[in-house]
Amino acid sequence: MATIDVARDQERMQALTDGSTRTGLVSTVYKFLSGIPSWILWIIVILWTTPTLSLFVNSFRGREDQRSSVFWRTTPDQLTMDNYSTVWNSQAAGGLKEGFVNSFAIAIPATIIPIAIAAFAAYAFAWIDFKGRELMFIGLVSLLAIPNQVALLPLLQTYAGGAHQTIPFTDKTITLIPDLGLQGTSNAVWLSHIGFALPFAVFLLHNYMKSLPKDIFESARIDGADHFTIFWRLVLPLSIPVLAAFAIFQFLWTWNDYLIATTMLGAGGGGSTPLTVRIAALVGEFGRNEHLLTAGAFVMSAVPLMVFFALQKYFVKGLLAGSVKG
Amino acid sequence: MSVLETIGRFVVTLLLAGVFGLVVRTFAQRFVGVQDSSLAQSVREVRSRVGLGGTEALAERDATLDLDYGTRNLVADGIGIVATVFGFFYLLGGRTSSFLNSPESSKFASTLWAVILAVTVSAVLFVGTNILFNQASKNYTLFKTLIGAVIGFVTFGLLDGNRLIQWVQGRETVADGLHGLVNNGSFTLLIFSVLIGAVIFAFYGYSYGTPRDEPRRYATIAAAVGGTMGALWGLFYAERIPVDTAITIIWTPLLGAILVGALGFALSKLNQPVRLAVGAAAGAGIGAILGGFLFRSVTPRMEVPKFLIATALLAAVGVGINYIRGKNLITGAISGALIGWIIGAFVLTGVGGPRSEAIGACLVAGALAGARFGAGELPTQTQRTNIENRSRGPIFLAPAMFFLSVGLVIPLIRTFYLSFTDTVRREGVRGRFTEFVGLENYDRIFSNPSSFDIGDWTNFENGTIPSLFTSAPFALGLTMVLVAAGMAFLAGRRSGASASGSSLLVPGLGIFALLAALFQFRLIRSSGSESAQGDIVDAVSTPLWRYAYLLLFLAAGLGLLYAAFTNMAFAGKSGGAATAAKPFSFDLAGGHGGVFAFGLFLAITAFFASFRGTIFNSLWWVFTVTIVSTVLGLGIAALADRASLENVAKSIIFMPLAISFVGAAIIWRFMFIARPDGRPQTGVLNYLWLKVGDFAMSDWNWLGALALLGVVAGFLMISYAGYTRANSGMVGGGIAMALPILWLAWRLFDGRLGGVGATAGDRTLFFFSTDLPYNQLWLMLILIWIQTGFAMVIFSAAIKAVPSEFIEAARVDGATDSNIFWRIIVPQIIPTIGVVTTTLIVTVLKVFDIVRVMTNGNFESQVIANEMFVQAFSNREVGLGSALAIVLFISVVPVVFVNVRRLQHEG
Repeated sequence: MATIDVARDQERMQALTDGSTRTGLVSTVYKFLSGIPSWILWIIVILWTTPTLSLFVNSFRGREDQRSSVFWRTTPDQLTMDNYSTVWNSQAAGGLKEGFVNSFAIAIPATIIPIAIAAFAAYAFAWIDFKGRELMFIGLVSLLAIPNQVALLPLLQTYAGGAHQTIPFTDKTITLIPDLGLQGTSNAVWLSHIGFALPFAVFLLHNYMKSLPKDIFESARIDGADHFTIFWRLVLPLSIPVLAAFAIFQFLWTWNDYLIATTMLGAGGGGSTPLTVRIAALVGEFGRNEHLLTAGAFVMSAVPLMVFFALQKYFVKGLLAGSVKG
Repeated sequence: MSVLETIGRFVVTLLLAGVFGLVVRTFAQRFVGVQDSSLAQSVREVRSRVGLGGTEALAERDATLDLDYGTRNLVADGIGIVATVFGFFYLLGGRTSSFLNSPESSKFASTLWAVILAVTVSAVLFVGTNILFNQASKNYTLFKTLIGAVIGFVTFGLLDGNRLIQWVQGRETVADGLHGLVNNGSFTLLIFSVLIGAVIFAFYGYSYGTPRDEPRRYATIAAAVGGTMGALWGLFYAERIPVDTAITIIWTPLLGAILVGALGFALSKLNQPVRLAVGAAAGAGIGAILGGFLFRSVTPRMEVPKFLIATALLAAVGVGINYIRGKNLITGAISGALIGWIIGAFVLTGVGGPRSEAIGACLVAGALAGARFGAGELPTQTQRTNIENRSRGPIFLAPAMFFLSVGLVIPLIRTFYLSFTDTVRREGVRGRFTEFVGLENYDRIFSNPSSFDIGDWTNFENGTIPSLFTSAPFALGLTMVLVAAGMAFLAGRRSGASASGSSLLVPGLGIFALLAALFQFRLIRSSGSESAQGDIVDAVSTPLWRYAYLLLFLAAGLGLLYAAFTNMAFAGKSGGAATAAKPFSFDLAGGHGGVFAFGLFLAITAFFASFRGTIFNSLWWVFTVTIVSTVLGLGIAALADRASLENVAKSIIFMPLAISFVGAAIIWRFMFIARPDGRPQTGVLNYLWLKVGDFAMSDWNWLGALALLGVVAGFLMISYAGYTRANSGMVGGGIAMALPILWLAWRLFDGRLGGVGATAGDRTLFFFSTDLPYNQLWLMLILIWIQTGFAMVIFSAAIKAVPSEFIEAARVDGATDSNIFWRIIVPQIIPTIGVVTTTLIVTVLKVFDIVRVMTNGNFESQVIANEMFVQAFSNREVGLGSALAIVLFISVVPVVFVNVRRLQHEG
């Protein structure tokens, strides 16, 4: 009996691992079904691409063509760059040329400045002993998930009129931050981004710097190098990959930001609004400029998509290292 | 422009720009490569100096540094991309020359300068501070002098900026100067700062190459001081402020720097007791000068008892604090007295006293401050080195802490405060005033029906929103839950195991089923008419189905309650022995657990569809998007893990993460468009939907129905295969997939699929973002489209990190793919699932852009983040907006907690 059981077990095991040992209809169906996972994957890929593809194709069609047939019915003679030239040049249609420049004017400082600041702090948290380091780092991590919304109102008030504090029990008010005339400028937007970016930046860079081998630091200290030398000559060159990862992350984040820009600059206007705000305003007049939205969305997405496809590796690295960003 | 020309131009331009970019990239790579290896060289030099050149790990790191894509090619790639973009626009429009002279280019330039200025100023400050504290151990006199100068400069500058002291009536202050700088920052100034900053920075790095070269160090310090002076001079020159005005602006801070710097110099040379005396006397002198120029409106009126009491009290506190800390009692007393004096003289008393009293008050304060500096002995060399070492952490942290507190922490605290206030207008007074209103704002949020609206949950009239217990998803979900519970019971009979928490689950489910039966019964009795809720609901409201559901719910409810009572009676008899198997064991482990979970998901979706309001909507978003994105991301990661062209598939699914939420909303808007009936549908979804309808009405619909029946047969086969292998998941999953497809086949055969209405030509379209109650699900779809890629990338990395020995060992033992996934991979990546879920929860709670662009909160789709924006910035309800922000903050607090716990676990 025992031998038969073993034989049957083996047979069953083989049947489970390899459908081909079975014969007949069940086997055929099984083989068919075992191919399904990769089909499903590619079906999902197609579903995922369709919305973008639809918009992309439509962005090269005129208003009437867009409104008369679905995107895969596009004929070659419908293709035109008119939508792009309109949104790029015409102020009435968003003035995206100006918006493009403004987006850069916000995203570049908001990317570069936090890196410098965060690198110092990350090094301090990773390799300098000081009182309350643990506690401060926990405080920093707890800031990671804080929604930006909680800080917007006071920040806007500060940009609009400075920060003033009335001393309790007196009528005296002292100015902590003078009115620097930042309201409605792109400076206000990227300054806000710095504060919001720092917890994540410090966290990400700290994790990387902490993983550097300890013996470098100890021997350098013994040789008389101070923290600044170690930071500048050893840690910074070794951290370039993670700095790049954060830079890409932060660039996409600030380029795509809508909330902070629209809060600091107002939805309607001013000459300093970035692409997101301009295009969102274009949505408001959906009927009239509907056909232009297609091109607008692609002008807005061109830079992030280029950065994304060229530097995906670093983007993923940043994502994996700091996936607790709020 | 003809099409051909457009395409041709486009392609040729792209090609040319690409070639150009490639060439530039190659050159850049050579250039950067050289730069990089010299960098690597210097790193290696430092290492060899510290005796670390030879270890294996470092050799590896050197190799990384030399060859890593990151250090060399990244910069080259970046330059190449910029060159390509530049070349593209240049060739496309030939507009570059006009661009260089356009307002845009000046915007570029000013942005660039702003960045360089900010980085330079920060670098100068940072490096300068580092140099300054280096002097603590090397040259104490210089250190003390410079510290004094900085303290004096900042203190006098602050007093001056706040118009607390004045030199000439009506002149400009430092604040005015700063205002002008930020607004009209001009070229000259920027050039100055940049040049100076660069020179200093280079100098510093160079001098550190040879650490014991003292003269070079002094040169650096001199350059730093000179640089700061030059930058200030540049400021006034660039601002075209007359030199005399510039001098009056800079006068006060400079005076402070000189006076306090001199004091610092003196103190660094003297020993006790001369030290204390000189400190007090010089402090008194500086105080007297300050008092002499104190602004008229803040000169104190001396009220002797008040400030004497304050001084004595605070001095006592100072002594107490230092006693506890084990520090010098005298310095504690002096510090306390100083603070007490300032409070007593300037806070507690009134203003408008005579000049003499102002001078007196400042003189005493200055003397106390000077005495505080003069107290204690000169530090020994060890102490001085300690000063230097201890300063390092704060210096490195200071910039980040400054921006964090100014940009995040203090605003957060202020938002808390604002949430308890309201801005009001007062009769006959201009402007708005802030009033403390306690919890009124929170009360407004939570008592408002637009936040919580549960009025529809028992509504079984033909409203737009279905009642909870009679809606289609609920009926379907509950059925699945009940079927799964039955299977869990069968599995429990086999294994004897009982799912944890089943003692609550079973009776709870029973009561729920009975309630559902009750509402079905009331619905059947009260309404004969069909509700108009789209196709699926339509099917449920067919009386036959209703009776079937009624019976099912009734039977299941009674059965579950019976099981619960039997278990309870058994537990009572056996004295609650946990080890004894209960008569009714529910084992949810296994595939039917998935059916159970999916049923629960549907039922909870029904719950959210019938409960409306901002807060419910936000919860609905969190619930749906988090679960669907996580499950889909995990599924896709698992599917892609074995697929060919894995990376292509993954980057396509990942791509939406690079697109802004606004862009994604626009992309989906075009998917969702519904044009008026009769006009061509251009929204992909409605187009396909109507095509299905056309097919259903055609003569060949039976063919489609037949094909669908084939699919049903396939799923039933899966079910059967599951039955032969005792795999309850395959049984349940197969049936669960087969039933809806069977229903579709039937509708197709009946010619009623695809929005086909009662009369010919009358077609029902989907108005995705406006049709209640499920419109929000379509908005969530956008976020799911974006966030699934995020979940997938994280899961993909986690799956690849599962040790391959585990998987191979399992495969050798005969585990199927799905067994490997559920029994080996999933338990290994549970921490990752936690990370993804918490991240998603925060992202979803903050969702703002999508709702704003798609509906702006109309059609009952408002969420907290958008409501906060509307109240705070559109309606100018600062208090209410702050309260909403705080609600948002409080809802992420659990996530914060989880993050911190995770950090502590990781060490």
